[in-house]
Amino acid sequence: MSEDGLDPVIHTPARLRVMVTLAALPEGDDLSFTRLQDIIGLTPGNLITHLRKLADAGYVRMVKTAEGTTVSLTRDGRAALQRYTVTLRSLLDAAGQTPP
Amino acid sequence: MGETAGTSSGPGTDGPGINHRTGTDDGPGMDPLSAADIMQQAQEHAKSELTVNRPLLLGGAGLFYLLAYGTVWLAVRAQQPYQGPPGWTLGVLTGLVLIVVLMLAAVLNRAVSGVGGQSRRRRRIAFLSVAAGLVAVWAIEGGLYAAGASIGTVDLIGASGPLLVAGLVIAAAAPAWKQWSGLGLGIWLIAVAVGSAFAAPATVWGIDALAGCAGFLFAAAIVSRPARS
Repeated sequence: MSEDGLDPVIHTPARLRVMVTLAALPEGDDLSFTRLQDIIGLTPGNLITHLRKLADAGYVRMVKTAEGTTVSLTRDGRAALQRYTVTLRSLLDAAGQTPP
Repeated sequence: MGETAGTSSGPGTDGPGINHRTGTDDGPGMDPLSAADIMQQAQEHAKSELTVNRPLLLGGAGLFYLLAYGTVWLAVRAQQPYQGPPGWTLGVLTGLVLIVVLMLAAVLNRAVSGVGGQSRRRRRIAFLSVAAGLVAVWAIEGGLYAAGASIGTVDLIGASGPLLVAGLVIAAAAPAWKQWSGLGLGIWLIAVAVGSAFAAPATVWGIDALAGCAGFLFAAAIVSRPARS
């Protein structure tokens, strides 16, 4: 955890966007790497770097198939994002800032 | 998270001054407010990209029923005795089916492109179920015709059968999709299909056109309501 209690694996702009985008899918669904890239707007190299960090933490699952690579959020990842959101809200509340 | 925090972001940016197209490192640090802003933007963007436009889908289905069944009803309502839809209605119905299929593909494609897993399996099962149901309806019509049933009896199955199939599939799929308005719509369509079977052959088309359309439009209105927070 970082000083402010936010998970450092998630607490970067790109990885936060990846996590939030994957969390928008129902549990049990996955997203193709290319579609995720389209939505997030990262280059393939950038995206794979961030996905590997998330996969190393057990937050995302990458599966290579004949059609390409698919990415999905794991249960741990969903729980980590939930914790991140709660922590973020409490930090904003403590600072007297209104969340967007 | 609610409205945006007054930050601007252009294409390729991640919110407050963060360009996510550059750099493969962890990027610049974020304060909590920036993180909240990025989360909110990402949630909205993901929702717009990955959510099926259900009001449009349901509204389109309602209009299809109204136009398709309404066309047949207008063509047969004055028939005494009932002789069935004239040949030209087949052309109109074929055109409408093509339009609906193209519309369905356009609405679904953006939201489901690249999405796999359970949702894709459920979609395939639903489409296969509808296709199998429609084939079964046509087969039953053929069987009835071969057995010497009147054209009025055969068309009763032809008119209400597809509505019954659609209702059953929508109602059965609703719990899996967690779309409870779908359960109500499915039950309504089943009730309309069964209820219209007691009407005169020509009237069946009119009842199915109006009641089927009303059900779909009502469901479209329900799902288009903003979610309560």
